[in-house]
Amino acid sequence: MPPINEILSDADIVIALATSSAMRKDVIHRIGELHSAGYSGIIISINEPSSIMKKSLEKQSINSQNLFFIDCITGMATGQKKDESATIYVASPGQLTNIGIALTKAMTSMKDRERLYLLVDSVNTMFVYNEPDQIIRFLHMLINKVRLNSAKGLLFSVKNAIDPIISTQIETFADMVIHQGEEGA
Amino acid sequence: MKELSDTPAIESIQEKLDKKTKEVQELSIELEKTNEGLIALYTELDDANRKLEESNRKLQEEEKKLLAYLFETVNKTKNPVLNIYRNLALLEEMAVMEDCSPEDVKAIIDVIKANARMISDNITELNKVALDGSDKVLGHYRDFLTE
Repeated sequence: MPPINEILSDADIVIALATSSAMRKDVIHRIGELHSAGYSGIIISINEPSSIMKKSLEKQSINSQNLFFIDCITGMATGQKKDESATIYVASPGQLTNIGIALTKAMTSMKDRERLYLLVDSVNTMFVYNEPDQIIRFLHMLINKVRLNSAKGLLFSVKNAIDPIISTQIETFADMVIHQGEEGA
Repeated sequence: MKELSDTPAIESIQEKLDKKTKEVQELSIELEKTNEGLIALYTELDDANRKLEESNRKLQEEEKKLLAYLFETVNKTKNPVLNIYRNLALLEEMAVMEDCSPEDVKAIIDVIKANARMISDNITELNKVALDGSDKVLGHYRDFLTE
């Protein structure tokens, strides 16, 4: 599997398909690679609370200072939390408008960063909370926002966890689809 | 003299010709009726074929809708199960490494609980849809399946 820096030199928007069991580690690994390549990132966490993700990153000696979290799961699991300086809590992954607003705020606060990326930790989980049409429209908006801000986008999803027709539609938004854990992908 | 003797022959031929012409006319009318019958039959067949195609198309559309619904429902149950699995693995990893604060454990368990609740809600919703319009399930079983 080529390093993320190499992948992003050919593509602005990448969909990364991973197995369910390896996805968490793949996400952390890719954030680490992007950190080493000098990128700052906005992480939309749908699967894992940002506090746990930050801790996993710390263990890998990855500084969270260059990261902005839009945490969509903590609020749903534990009740609404107050936003922190680099973390916005959205009450549920179903609140796409609020995620969009949080993304605008995050991009504003990160606008002076030279190399910026947006990472969604699980596109397939979004389908649990929203209708497919809504998610397709949302992802289209999200990707356009990333492109307009000259940033990079990395969207993680579990393999075969989305309706194949919808999956094809989403893939048309991206420049590249990579299969995590496969040689030569 | 010869002309006179030929007259009956001509009359006979004319008579035969008239008879044949009449037969041809009758056959033509019959053929025309057969053609009309055939056209009506073809029209009827066309109509039946069109109705069959329309019915097949509707059936295929229904099948597609059912498949999409099943996929979505299965997905809405499968994804939280995968999420629970991932979070339990994370919890195990953190426990083995003795690297978890009570807040971390609480946060992970809360996510697991939220996903478990979601599975329960989705199954209840699926049961409601499956039982909708069915009068074969007794009231108390219906309550058990949908509440």
